[in-house]
Amino acid sequence: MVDISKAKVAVLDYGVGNIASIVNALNMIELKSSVMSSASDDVLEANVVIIPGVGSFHNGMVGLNERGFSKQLQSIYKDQSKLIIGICLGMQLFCRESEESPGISGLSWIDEKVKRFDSNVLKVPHIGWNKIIMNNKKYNNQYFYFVHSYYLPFKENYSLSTTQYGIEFTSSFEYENIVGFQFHPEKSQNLGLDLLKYTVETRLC
Amino acid sequence: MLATRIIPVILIDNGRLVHSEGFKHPHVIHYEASHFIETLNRWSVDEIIVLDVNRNNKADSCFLEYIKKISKCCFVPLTVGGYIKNLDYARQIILSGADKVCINSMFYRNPKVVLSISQHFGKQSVVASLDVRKEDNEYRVYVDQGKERIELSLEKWILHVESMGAGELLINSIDRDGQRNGYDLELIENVKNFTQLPIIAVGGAETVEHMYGGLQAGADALAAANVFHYKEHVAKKIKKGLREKGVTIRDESFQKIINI
Repeated sequence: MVDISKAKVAVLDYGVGNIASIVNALNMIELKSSVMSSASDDVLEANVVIIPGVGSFHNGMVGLNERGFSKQLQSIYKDQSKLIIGICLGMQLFCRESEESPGISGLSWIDEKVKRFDSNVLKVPHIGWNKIIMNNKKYNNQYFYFVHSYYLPFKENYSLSTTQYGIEFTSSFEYENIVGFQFHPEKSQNLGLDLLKYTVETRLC
Repeated sequence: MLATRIIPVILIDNGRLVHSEGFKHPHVIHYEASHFIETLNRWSVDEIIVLDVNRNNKADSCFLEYIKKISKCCFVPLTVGGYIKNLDYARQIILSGADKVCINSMFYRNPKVVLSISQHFGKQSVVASLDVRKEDNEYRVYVDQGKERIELSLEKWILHVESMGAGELLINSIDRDGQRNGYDLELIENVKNFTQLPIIAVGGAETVEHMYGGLQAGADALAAANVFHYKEHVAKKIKKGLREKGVTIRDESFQKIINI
């Protein structure tokens, strides 16, 4: 296991994220992070790149493209010595497209369309603490904080955890060198911070 | 299934943490509000609302510093409000570590500002606060810390705040504020009939029974202010009591994995 206190973490500020929350959380788990507001060599040199994000799919992609991050991320993707973590909208941007912003292409690492919860039968957004079902004793059946209107459908080949809200959806996933959380580990108290730390520790090699 | 959220409301008046009663703040609970921060993360609460309630008609200059301090040790969602009059101040609040902003009077004074905040940060980041009082058997909404009554009916006002980008409603009963006799349940029932947005009830709750009543009346989240400061382990006891009544509650006995 690597000494994660030496890992370099880049947090991408692309205009829509809750940057302060994620930086506070990283400090708490003793990960050194720098906030990047445009493409730079520091992003390419980082061991871990975190894409936080609250906002629309369209604004998110515009932010990543305009600040030059999309191109850099494409070169980091599949580099197994690196880890890319997407949180909430950040995770949805890994997909091909979203019902939220028709015609806008995502980073397209996951060949899926992000869907909207059915507001005829559910309160949308899905706001609050919900359980995740995960093949890990510590986190399985525990509550994490969610706030979103769109979701990634469940797929056996990449879902790391699932959650029930009217339907069963992907609440976290793992694919190549990317990990996505639909919930906010940085806002899910101690267990969330622990999961964030565990993810970095176990994925960095 | 979502767990019912238990939310303390922290009222800050010029750096002091104050008690609220009838929309006045007669007692100071902590003269130095930041002393209180350390205890926050030990609470097993699900969210925290912090409001600048000073009466100087403008935001307290120390308030943002206070939010920055809180957010460094607050790892549950943080909602912050008080004197948000423009997009820039909302942005400063979010940059200070808040996840949502709580807005009241601007829905009346300048609703376009609220719409711009909602469009910028997303609906989920905007909590509309409604201060409501019952008069002549009718619920009326007030702005400016309960001083000015608006003409629209409660139903029309809710439609208005929804159309201006609210993602949640914080429903505060002026009559019940600090009275310790439970939420205004009829008010919550009324609001529930008018909206699909999540409802956070506040005003008057002190006991498990009060909280349970709010939930039965249709609230999605249960908030209170004073009660959290005067007794030991309040959140824990409320959660235990609600769980015993069959309410879905996030476990308060989370493992202390990281030493905060």
